[in-house]
Amino acid sequence: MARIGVFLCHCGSNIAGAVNIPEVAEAARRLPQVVHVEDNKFTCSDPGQAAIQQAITEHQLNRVVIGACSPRMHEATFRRTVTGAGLNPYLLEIANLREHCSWVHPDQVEEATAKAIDLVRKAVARVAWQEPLTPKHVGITRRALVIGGGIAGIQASLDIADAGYEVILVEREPSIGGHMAQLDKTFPTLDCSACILTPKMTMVGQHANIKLMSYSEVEDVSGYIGNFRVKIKNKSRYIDMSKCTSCSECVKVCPVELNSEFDENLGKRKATYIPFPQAIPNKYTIDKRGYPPCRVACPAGVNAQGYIALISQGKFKEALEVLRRTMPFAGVCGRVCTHPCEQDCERGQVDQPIAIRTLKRFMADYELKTGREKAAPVEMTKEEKVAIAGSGPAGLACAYDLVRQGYPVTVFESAPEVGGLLRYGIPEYRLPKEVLNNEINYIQELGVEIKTNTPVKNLTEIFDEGYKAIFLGTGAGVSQKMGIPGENIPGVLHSLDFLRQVNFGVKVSLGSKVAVIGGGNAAVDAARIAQRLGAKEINVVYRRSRAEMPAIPSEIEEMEREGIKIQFLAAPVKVLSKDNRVIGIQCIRMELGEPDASGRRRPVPIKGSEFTIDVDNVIMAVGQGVDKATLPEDLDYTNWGTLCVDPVTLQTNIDGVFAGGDVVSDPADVIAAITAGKEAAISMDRYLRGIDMEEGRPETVKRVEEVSKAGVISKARQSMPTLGVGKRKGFDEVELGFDEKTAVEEAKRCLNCAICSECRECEKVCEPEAIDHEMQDEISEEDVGAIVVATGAGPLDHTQFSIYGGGVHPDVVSTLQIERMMNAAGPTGGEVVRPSNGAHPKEVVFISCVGSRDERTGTGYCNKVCCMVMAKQAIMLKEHAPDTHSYIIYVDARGPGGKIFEDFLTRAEKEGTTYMRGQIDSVAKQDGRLLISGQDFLSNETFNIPADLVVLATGLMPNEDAARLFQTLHISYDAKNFLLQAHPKLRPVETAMDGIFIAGCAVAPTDVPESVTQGGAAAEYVLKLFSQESIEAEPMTSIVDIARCTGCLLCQQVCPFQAVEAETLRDGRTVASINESLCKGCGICVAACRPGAIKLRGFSDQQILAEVMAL
Amino acid sequence: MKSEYQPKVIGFLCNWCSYAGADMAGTSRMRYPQNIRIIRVPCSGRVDPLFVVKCFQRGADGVLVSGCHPGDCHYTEGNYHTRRRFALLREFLDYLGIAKERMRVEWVSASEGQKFADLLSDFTAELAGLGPRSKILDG
Amino acid sequence: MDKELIQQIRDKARNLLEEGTVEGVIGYERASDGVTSRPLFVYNPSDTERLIYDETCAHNLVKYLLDKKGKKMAVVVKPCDSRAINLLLNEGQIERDNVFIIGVGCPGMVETNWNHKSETLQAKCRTCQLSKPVVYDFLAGGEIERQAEEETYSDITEEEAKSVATRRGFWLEQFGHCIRCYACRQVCPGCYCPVCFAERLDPLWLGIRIAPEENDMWQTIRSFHLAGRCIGCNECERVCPVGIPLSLLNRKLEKDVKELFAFQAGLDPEEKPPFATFKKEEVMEFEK
Repeated sequence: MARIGVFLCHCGSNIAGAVNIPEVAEAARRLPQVVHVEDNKFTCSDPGQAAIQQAITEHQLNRVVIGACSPRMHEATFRRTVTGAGLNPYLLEIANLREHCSWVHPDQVEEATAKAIDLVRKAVARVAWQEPLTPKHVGITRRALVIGGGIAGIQASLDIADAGYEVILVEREPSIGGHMAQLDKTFPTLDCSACILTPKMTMVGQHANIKLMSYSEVEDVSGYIGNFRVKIKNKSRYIDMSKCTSCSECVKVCPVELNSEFDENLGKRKATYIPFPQAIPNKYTIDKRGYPPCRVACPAGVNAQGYIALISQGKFKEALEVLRRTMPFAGVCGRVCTHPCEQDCERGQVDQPIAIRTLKRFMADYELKTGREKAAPVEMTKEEKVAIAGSGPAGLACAYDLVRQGYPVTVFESAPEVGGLLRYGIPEYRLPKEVLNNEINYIQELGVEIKTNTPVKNLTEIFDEGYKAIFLGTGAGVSQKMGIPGENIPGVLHSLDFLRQVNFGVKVSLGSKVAVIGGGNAAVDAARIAQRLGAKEINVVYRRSRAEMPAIPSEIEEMEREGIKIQFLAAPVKVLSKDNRVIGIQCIRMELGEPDASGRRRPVPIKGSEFTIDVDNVIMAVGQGVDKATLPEDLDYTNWGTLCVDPVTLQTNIDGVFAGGDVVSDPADVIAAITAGKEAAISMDRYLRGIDMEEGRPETVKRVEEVSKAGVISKARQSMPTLGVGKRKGFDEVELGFDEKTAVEEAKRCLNCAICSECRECEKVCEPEAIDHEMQDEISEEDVGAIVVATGAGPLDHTQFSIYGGGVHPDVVSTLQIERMMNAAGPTGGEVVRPSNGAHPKEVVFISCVGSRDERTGTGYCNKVCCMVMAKQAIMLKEHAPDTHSYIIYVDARGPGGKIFEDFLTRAEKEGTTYMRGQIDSVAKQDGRLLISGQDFLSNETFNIPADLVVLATGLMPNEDAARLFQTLHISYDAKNFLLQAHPKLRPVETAMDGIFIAGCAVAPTDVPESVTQGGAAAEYVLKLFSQESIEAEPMTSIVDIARCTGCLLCQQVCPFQAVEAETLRDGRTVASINESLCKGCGICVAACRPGAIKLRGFSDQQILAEVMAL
Repeated sequence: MKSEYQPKVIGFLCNWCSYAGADMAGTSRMRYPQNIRIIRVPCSGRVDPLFVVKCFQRGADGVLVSGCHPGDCHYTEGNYHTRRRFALLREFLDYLGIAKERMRVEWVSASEGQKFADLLSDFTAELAGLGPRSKILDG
Repeated sequence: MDKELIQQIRDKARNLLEEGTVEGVIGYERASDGVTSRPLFVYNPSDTERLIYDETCAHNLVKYLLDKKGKKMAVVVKPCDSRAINLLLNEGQIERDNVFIIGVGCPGMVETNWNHKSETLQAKCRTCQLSKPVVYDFLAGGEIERQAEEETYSDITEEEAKSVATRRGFWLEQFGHCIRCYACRQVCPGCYCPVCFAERLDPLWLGIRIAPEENDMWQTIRSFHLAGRCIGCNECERVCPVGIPLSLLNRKLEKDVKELFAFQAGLDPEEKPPFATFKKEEVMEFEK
C-alpha cells in the first residue's frame, strides 16, 4: 500500500497567485493513497526541503508528489531531498504547476485551480505505480578521443595528456593547427600566430600520451559514457609516414598544380604536399580524389590525366611511359580511337573537352620524330608459353600485357603482315604505316614473337607444342552481303576486300562514279579512298539520318569537305547493270519509325519513292562477319555467328582458350578490341596461376565525385591542323597533329580532376621509397571513455557575396586571404597586393558583418571576431606600408572581451583608420580600381570611396559535412550546424550525450583565447570523469518479460542504439534481450511491442495509463 | 452555451523538445487555453497508439502527440516511428468515426514556446468548433 | 473435386511422412456433414487418403503452425494463406526449414454453411490475383489461371466518403453486436501474443464487461495490431458469429499502408514491415 505525501509549492506568488492552493490541497487530501498534504512558500528552499524530509519520516511516506515548477528545473534537487530522508529517489513525481499552469493561465484562477487539481491527481496516480530504481555502476576506459586538431582540440589534448591519460587526437587534414595556423598575427597583442601555436603543435606531436591520427576521420561511434568504441578511418596518404623524410623531391617532379587551401587559393601547391612548413606531422601527402572521368570512360582504363599532366610539363617521353603502362598504341589510338574519354571530360562543362586523342597521338609523333631507343626485352620469368591467334589490336594488346608479366608469347598471324585490321582496314591517310610499324616493333622488342603467314587451324596442335593458354583474336574478316539483286555483278565491291587490296598495294581501278552503301567508318573510309583513287562523283548512301550515323563525326566532316555527298534516308533496292557491268543503283527513300532494339529509330521505306543514281561501281560497307571456316573446330558460336565466350573471363567453351575483339563482339572499335585483349590477359594470367578467374579481378574504378571548376578561365581547345583539301591527292595523312607548343598549351587546359594524376614520377625520385600509390585507407577501432568535439568552423566563402563584389572582382578578398598575404611565408612573401595586378594597394576598404547578423546570407548573429580582425589588419597594413589608408565600414564596432580588446579598436582609429558606420550599396569597377558606394548612417549622407582592395569580413560556420559527424555522435546541432550545449549558460562545454564534450568554434564563433579556455574546460570535464571510480548508469531503461516475448524482434529493428539482442532460451525459444548499458530509455521499443513484453522503468504502461485514467 | 464548452485535450509530450517547449511557453508567460493536460514521456516514440485510443475511449475531445522535429530527436530516430504510427492511426480513427482533426501530431522544439502556445489556441478553437463528444458515443 | 490434384497432395503427404521428412501433415478432410471440409492433422501415412481439397477448404491452416513450433510439419497452403507463411517467417515465428509447404492453386472458395455450400465465391476470392502460392516447396496441380476483378477498395472508399458521424454510427452498431468471443483473434495467423492486450492486467487496457466502448477499443486495437501485417485471408470475418464486417477494417488499413508506406504484408519475408522502418524524407499529411 502506497503512502503518498503531496507537497504544494506557492513559489512565492508564482503559483499561488493564479492557483487556489488550499483548494488543490483539499482535493489532494481526498485522493486515494494520499496520507499527507502540505503546502509551502518555497519548496525548493532549505526549509521547504526540510519539511518534506520531516514529513516522510513522520508520516512514513513511501511516495512523494511535489506540485511545483517543471521537473526539468528541480527534479534532481527533490530527488536528493527524498534520498536524504531515506526514500528511493525515483519514488517521486512532480506536478508542473508553474510552467504548465499558473504562468500560462495567470488570470483564470478557477480554471487554473481545476487544472492544478488534475495535474496533482495525475501525479498521484502515476507515482503509486512507481518502483524504486537503483542506478547501476559501470567502469570507465580512461582514454580520451579528441576530434579536431585546431587550437581548441590541441589545448584539450595537451591538458588531458599532461594529466597522465592517453589521448587520441583525430584531425581530418594532413596537419593539425586549424585556422590559427593560417593567421599571421593574433589580436589584440599582435603575437605572431605561428610563434605561439607551433610549440603547442610540436608538443602534441611529441607527447608520449598523445596518439596523433592526422588525415583521419571518425566513421562511427557506439557505446556510452566511459565506454565508447570509435571507428576511425585513416585516409591513405599514399606515402609511408615512417619512411618519408620530408625531402620534398616528390614535389619537384609532380606535374599537377592546384590552388593551395592553406593559402586561401592565393598560392599554389602540388598534388603531393605539406600544407605549410611547420606542419605536424611533417610528412607529405598525395592528394587523390578517385579516378579522373577520362580514365573511367576509357574502356581500356588508359590514364589520360597522367600523360596529359606530364605533357603540360614538357615531359613527353615520360608521358608516353604512362600510356604504355596500359597499352602500346599511342599512335594508333591517337588517330583512330572513338575517344569516349573526351565525351566525359569535365573541361567540357567549362568550354570544350581536352583534345585527349590528339595529345595521345602527339606523344607517338614526338617519339617518331626524335627517335626511340630500342625497348629492353622483358625478362621471361614465367614458364607457361602463351599462343595468340591474330595480330590485330585485341591480339597485340593481349600479347603486350602478358609479355610484360614475363610470359613467353607467340602471335600467329595468317596474313603476310602484322597488324590485322589496323593494317588492312584503316586507310593510310588516317593511319600511316610508319606509326603502326613503330608500335608493333616496340611490342616485338619487348619479346613477343610474331609468326606471319601462320594461321591457327588446330588448337590441339598448339597445346601439343607446349602452349598452356590460347587467345583467339582473329577478327571478323568477311564482308556481309545485303541480299539485293545485282550484288554479285563485277564492279560491286565489298569494303573490307576493297580496303585490304588498297592497303596491301594491289591496284584497284574504279570508274568515275561510285556509290558507297553504309554509314560506318568503313563506308567513310571506302568513299574517301575511292576519291583518292580517282573517282569523281561519289555518293554515300545511308538509310538513317545524320544523327544516327555511326562513323566518327570529324571523319564525316572531312569527307564532305573533300566533296563527297551523302544520301541520307536512302537504301539500295537493286544494282542496275548492262552487259554484266554496273550502270547504276536503284534506291528508295526512307523515313524514321519507332526505335528498334538498339534504341535508334528504325528506317521504314516510303512507297513509290524509288530513284536511281548512275554509277560505275558500288562499294558495299554494310557490316562484316566472322569467317567460321578460318577458325578451329569445336568452338561454340552465338546465334549471330560470333564466338561464344564467358562475359567476364572471355574464356570459350574450351578450357584454356580465350577470345576477344571482333571475333566475339561483332565489329566494334579499336579501343574495344584492345580492352578485350587486356581482359583476356587478366583471365589468362589467373588461369595459368590457378586462381579463380572471376573472383578478385580488378574492380571497376571509382570516378572522382566532384571536380572544382572555380576560377577556371575559359579557353578554347586547340584545333587540329589538317592537310588542305586541295592537297589530298595521294594517301598523305590528313590530320597533322600538334606541335610541341600546341600540345603543352592544350595539356595545360586539363583540370586535373583526380588531383594526383598517377604519373608516378614521384616514385622515381623518392629515395627512401616511401611512395605507395596502391596504399589503402585503414580503419582502426579504439576504446575511449570520453570524447571532446572541437571540429571548428570556417569563414563563409567570400566569393558567394557578389553584392560586395566577391567572386566578381579579383581585388575583393577575404580577411583570411589578407592574413595569408601578410604572412612572410605566405603566397606573396609577406606583401599585401592586389590579386588583379600584384600592385600595392593604397586605399583598402573593409566591410564588416558579411554573412553574419543576416539570416538570409549566413548566420543571424554576430560573428564575434570580425571587429577585432579588421582592426588588427588595418593596423598591420599601416605597419607594412605607411601610405596605406584603411576604411572600416561597420554596422557596430565592438571589442568583446573587454580589457585590452576595446583599446585595440581605439588604437586602429588613432593610427589612421577611418571608421564609418553604414551600409554598402555597391562595389563597382571604375578606372581599374573599385568604387564602394553606400550610406553613412551617422551623417546620413551617401559615400563613394575609390579603393584598390576590398576586404570582406565573412561569418564563420561549421563545415557542411560536420552534421554527419554530429549525427554519428548522437549530439545535437542547430540549423547552421553549430553544436548545441547541454545548457547555454551553466553547461557550456557539455552536450546532452553524457561523456561527450565540446569546445571552440564548432559551438559558436570564438577567438583564440576563448577556444583555448573551452578546450581546457572540456579537458577538465574529461578529467573529472576519469577521476571517478565508476559511473552511475541511468536506471530508466527497458526490460523484457521473456514469458510475454514472442521473439518477433520488432524492438530490435526500431532500437536506434542497437541495445536489443536476440537471445535463445534453453527451451529453444528466441526472445529479445536488452543491454542496459546501451539502452537510453527512449521507449520506442515499448510502443512497438504488441505483446506488452517490454517495460520501460520509470515510464511503464501502468504509470502512463494511470495518468490517462486520472484525467 | 457553446462558448462554455471546454474541450478536454490530452497531450503526450516528449521530455527533450516538446515538454521543454511547453516549459518555455510558461517561462515566457505566454497564454494559451487551459484545456490541455500534459503527460510527459521520454520520447514521442514511447507513445503506444493504445494510449491515444484509450484517451478517446475515456472521453477526451482531442489528443496531441508532440515530439522533436524530424532529424532532431534526442534519441535520433524516435519521432520517425511516431510519424508513421500516428499517420496511420489518425486515418484509421477517422474511418471509425473519430474525426482526424481530433488528433494532432506536432513537432515542437525546446525553443518553440510560441509555437506551442499558438498550437494550443488553434487546436482548442478547432475542437470547440467540432463540438463535444462524450466518451464513445459521439464521433 | 480435382481428383488428380488431391492424389498429388495425398502422394506427397504420404511420401513426406514415410521418408520422415515431416512429423505430420496439416490438410483438409471432408467434414461430417459430407459437404463442407475441416482441418485434418495426419501423422500416419495411411491416413493421407483422408486428405481432400476443393472449393470449401477455406481455413487458413498456417495458423496451426504456431502450435507446432519446433516440429517439422507439412501444410497445405492456398495462395492467400501462403502470405501468412511469409509474415510468420518475417516475424521469426516459424522456421523455414521446419515447414514443408504443399502449395495448391485456388479456384476461389465458396461460402459454406453446415451441410450446404453456395455457388457464390467469397468476396476476397473475387479480387484475388494470385495464381499460385507466393512460397511453396511443392506445387500440387500447378498454377491456376485466375480471372479476378481488380481490387478497387470501392467498398472502403464508399465508407470513406460518408460523414464521420455516419461512420461512427455504423461502427457503433456493428461493435454493438460483438460478444467478445475472440474467435477473430483465435483464427488469425497474425494473432499470437502469449497474453493478448485484451486480457492483460498490467495494465488493464480493456474492461471485461461487454460494453460498446470496450468492444470499440477491442476492435480498434485488434485491427491496428494487424496494420501492415494482415495478409487478407479474411478468416476473422468468416468465423465471426455475429457477422461484423471485419474486412472493412482490415482492408482499410491494408489500403492505407499501401498508399502511405508502399507495403503489402506477406509478399517478401525479408522486406521490413512499415513499423520497423521509416524514411527520413517522407512527409505525412499532418506535416503539410
